Amino acid sequence: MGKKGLITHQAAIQVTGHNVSNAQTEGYSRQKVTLEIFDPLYIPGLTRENAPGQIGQGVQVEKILRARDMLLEDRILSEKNGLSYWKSMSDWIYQVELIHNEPTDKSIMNTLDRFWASWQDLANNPEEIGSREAVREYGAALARHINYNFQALKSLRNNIEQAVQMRVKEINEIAKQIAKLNEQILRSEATGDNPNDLWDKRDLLVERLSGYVDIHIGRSDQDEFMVFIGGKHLVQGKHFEQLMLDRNPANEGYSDVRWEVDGTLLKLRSGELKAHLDARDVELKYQIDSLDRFAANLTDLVNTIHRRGFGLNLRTGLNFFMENPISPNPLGDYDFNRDGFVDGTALFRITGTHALNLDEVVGLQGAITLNDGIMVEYADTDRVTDILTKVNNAGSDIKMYISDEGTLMVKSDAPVLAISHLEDSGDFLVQYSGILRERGEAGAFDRGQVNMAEAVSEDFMVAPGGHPASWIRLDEHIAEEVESIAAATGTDTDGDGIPNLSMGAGNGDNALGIAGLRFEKVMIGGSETMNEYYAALIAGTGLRGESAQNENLNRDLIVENLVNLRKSISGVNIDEELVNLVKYQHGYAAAARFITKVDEMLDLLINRMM
Amino acid sequence: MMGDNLINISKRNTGRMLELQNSLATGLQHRMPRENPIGVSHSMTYDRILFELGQFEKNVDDGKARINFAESALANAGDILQRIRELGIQGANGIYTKDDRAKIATEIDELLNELVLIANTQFKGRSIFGGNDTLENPFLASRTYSKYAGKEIIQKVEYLGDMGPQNREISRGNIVAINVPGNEVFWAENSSLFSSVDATHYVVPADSRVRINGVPIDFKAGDNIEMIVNRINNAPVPVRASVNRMNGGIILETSSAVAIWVEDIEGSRVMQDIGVLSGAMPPRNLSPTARTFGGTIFDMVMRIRDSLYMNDVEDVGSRSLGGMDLALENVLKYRTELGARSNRLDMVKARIIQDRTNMEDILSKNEDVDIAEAITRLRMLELVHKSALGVTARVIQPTLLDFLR
Repeated sequence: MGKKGLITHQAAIQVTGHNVSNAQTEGYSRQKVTLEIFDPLYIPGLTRENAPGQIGQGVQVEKILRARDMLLEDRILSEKNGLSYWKSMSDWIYQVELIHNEPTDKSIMNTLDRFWASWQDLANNPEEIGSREAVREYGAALARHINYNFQALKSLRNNIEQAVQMRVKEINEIAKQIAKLNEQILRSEATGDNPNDLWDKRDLLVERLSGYVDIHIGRSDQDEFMVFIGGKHLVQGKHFEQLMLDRNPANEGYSDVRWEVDGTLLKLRSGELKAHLDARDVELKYQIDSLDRFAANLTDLVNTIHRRGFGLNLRTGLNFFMENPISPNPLGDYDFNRDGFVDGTALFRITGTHALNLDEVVGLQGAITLNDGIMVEYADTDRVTDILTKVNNAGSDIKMYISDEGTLMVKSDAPVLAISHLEDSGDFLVQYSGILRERGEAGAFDRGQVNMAEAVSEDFMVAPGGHPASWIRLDEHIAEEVESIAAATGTDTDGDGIPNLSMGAGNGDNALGIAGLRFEKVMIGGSETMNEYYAALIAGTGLRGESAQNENLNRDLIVENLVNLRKSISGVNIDEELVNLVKYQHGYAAAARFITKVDEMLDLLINRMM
Repeated sequence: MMGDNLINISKRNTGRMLELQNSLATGLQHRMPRENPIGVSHSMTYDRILFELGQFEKNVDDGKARINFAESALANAGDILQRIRELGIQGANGIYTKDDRAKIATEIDELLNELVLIANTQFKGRSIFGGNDTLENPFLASRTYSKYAGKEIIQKVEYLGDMGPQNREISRGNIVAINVPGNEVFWAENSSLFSSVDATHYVVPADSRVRINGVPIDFKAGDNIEMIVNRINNAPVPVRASVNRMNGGIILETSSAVAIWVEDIEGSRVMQDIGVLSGAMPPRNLSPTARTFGGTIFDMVMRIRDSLYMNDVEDVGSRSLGGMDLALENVLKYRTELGARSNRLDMVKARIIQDRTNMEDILSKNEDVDIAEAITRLRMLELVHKSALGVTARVIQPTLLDFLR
């Protein structure tokens, strides 16, 4: 009986020591020894010795429990993936904000202002080489700035891709480890033990995993601990699944995360991995698309006016920014599916032939079909502006607006910057504005067919290739000779619609025309100026950054409180352990004293009875 | 646990203090869009407007410098014309002899040379009275030998510039021309043009567009000469058209002292067909068969000079002096106009400066840190931080270990 006391208290002291030494170990939960009365010597019955009461047999360790609240644990898991989602999201958007570098005097916005101002200076002094140099420099600086931001956004996107790859590897590794631990735990549990430290280890891994992906834990089956992601099990007892990375050519070679077993896409709702994927495929893609759209429109708008003007050297018809069409074919025929044969027509802009008046009642009826079968009907009471509003709000990626010459412009707002489909059952797009040549299906423009440029007005621009933001730069004629910058307007004397006689060296009207682009509503179907478009991009980024940061802070507080709660339950309190230590030490000393007493008794009995 | 709590709290406190420190150091309320997205986008807009106002101010200053320069050139021209007029009155006086008049004529010739130089005045190397043709001298004086003067004197002054406006943007979308072309300023008489081509049965073959004194005029296919005349008369140009009853040709007359400036544009041949234009490029594009009348200021000066040389006292006293009056009147008219434009630019500039002050005020309210407030907040945060540290230090100090032997 004394020995039992000694052994039991020794075990209790050992557990206390274990607690104290693991006080700072991550994921460790305090262990508690439950003592229990050893079964008494006799069981009640007629055959028992005729003595009063049951004589106790001492103490034994019933079990060593760990102090852990599994419900709290599950709350922490579910809050944690939200926290890490917003934390990573906030970090990525912060980096995007750093790239934009607003509001400072070294941003695209500021360079754009200087660019417009340089055209006004040129209009003031069209004969001066100095003001031409300034236009060239600010044009080049603007292009460089756009290139730089594009490269920075692109490499940020690549960094996120690397983070995705790393996380997927880590998730696979954790799944493997959990499955292995499950096996050990199962073995240990089978013998009736409480494998506290193994449980702690597994909980720690699960908690780490919950930061990466939104997992659900299945504890319903005692023998099979399960981890689910999006309804599919990652770990089931000792079995585990693996995730794989699948480069998606449709997404510029960025990887999709799939299940290795059946190749289906991993479904995520939260967690760090989801934040990486969202940042890569939503936020960064949006940023790059916006920059591309900005660059493509800047190129087209400036060039359209610039081509009409005359340089000091009387050259005309030159582009200011280089155009880099997606296809070498001047009619925009392009091989969309890259099988070696042209299969479509890629046009970024089509301009009508007739000048329109926004407030004129069109007096026609029909239906315009845009991409994805989006139909916009117009009645004969609609004014031009009504029809444009309908088209621009129809949710298609085709936008229409009136150019500074009054003609109707149709532009693509899609990431590929190529108009997908245009069709009009009435005459608005046909005879009225001169975009299409024929009515109805027969005269429809469709991206998916070749030689479609024949169906539209002659004034179109072939879609720019790749990312316009990555290659926007000055046209080489302008870069080489500033005298070619077209500050002067001209007169069309031969009637082909293209000016062929310069107004003279002192004329700066064309430069004023280009400077005037800054307050013309030319973006998003004529609702925003270029500056407003860019400012809205920054404000949007800032708003998303702000909300991500606030979500992050809120969840951080929640998780912090939960973790504090857990610490109060599972954490090791050194004072408490010391009290226990003293308690068990006394117990041990008492048991030892008991043994000495028994020894003395035996000594008396054996040695003194002679 | 208390230690962890302390770490969390002090992390948050230092984060806030860092933000405040940044605002105080830069003087800006927000550095990143996320700190105040709406404020940042406002800042961007205000910055842009300020920048634009600065550019407008530059445009106005530049325009004003040129207008003032042109105005002082016209003031000089006015003085010279006035002197010539006085000399003319002197010459018309019967007491002078032929030789005296020749001497006066020689003086006038010198003044004429001066006048041509003024008409070709350059500002920063650009001719100011040449319209858009600023790199050449707008007025070409041809000298030939005169037996009266006994030397080569100016016999013809031609305008080689154009009517192009030198435009400046002085506020958003508000464009003003800051020049006056030489074929308006240096003109003295109303001009007229008589075509010698009978256009009675002429029909405009296709829709066409011509430009008369810078204003485009559209003719429709099928217009006859009456319609052409009508359309010209209805256009906002100081030119009136009519049909010559004698030969059926068109007559163009200006209603003020400016040159007639006609161009066929966008492939039109109408003006060439009805004998107004020769088909050459402007400025020397009028048809050689058309007769033109109406003289420049130089013509007026040359007339008075030549009348004096030829001792034609009667002409000096009547027609020539009358021409000088017209010349003076026209120069004065454009001096007034330039003065008015200069005043307008002054007003625009005053408004720009006011706008800029307002905008700077708004911008400052939007993004500048209220230093007093920021420092107070920083002090308060410091206090909170210190007390958090102090309390925690007190609380975590004693442990049971201190009391166990």
